[in-house]
Amino acid sequence: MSNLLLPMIFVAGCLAGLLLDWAGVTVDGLHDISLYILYALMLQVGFSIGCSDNLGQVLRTARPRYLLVPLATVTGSLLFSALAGLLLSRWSVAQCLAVGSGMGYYSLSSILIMQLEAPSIGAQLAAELGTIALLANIFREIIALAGAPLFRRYFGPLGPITVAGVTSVDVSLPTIMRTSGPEMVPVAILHGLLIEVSIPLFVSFFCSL
Amino acid sequence: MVILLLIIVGVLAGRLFRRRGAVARWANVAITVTIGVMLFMLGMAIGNDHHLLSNLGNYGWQALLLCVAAIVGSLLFTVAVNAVIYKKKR
Repeated sequence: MSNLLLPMIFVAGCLAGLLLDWAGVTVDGLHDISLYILYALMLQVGFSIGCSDNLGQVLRTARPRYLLVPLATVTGSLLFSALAGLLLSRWSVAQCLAVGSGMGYYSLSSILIMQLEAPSIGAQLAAELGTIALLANIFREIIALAGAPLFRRYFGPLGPITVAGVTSVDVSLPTIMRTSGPEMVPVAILHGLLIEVSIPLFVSFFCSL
Repeated sequence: MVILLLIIVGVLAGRLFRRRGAVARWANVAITVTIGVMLFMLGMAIGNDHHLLSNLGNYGWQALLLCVAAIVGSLLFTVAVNAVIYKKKR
């Protein structure tokens, strides 16, 4: 139920934004507020881990071999974004790689792409590619939240983590905790943090090609 | 880094309520509510964006293609990682 509830709330938000637009109201400053809500969520996630009584067991399951998980996420995302880039004649493979290397970080990747692509392809096209990056990475977050039980069933406890990309450290963490189990939380946090560091590097690299 | 710090502060606070099942249950309900609020606001920002919506058909399928490709790639490589990690365990 709850895996259908969240996408429905998202759609309700879209409708609310649409209605406000028709009423002539422009929503502003949402980004700042949502940052603080994200901070509140992080406190809650920590709290939930802290009072779940198996913290020691959780930490003991952390192993260096789990570093392979972010590696798989990055390699898979980049390789298949390049393949998809071959199908999109409007954009170069490097530009599609820049979108794919957002790995769920829609705010940062779209802003970076708009800024970095503008000098070479012009503001109009750069805004278009930035919007595609925004949508692609929002889709990734929604799919990660809604599909987590499915990915858990067919790809094991690492499935929901790799699909979540960077959001495995924040927005998707509670869902991962529920579907993959609390012992996967350190893996998810490490995965999200490493990917978070890599995103600006990859995006700016592929934009420079 | 702020995120990691907040998680650690949360864990320390949570330790105080160890072995109280009711608190843990309510903490999980609160998490779902917070994610709901975040997704609602994200939706509101998108629904309120004129330019984005009028071009959704044009941009949307390209974004979906790139998104699905990245997810499929991630999952395929994770299958390989599964083979390495869970073979070692047995």
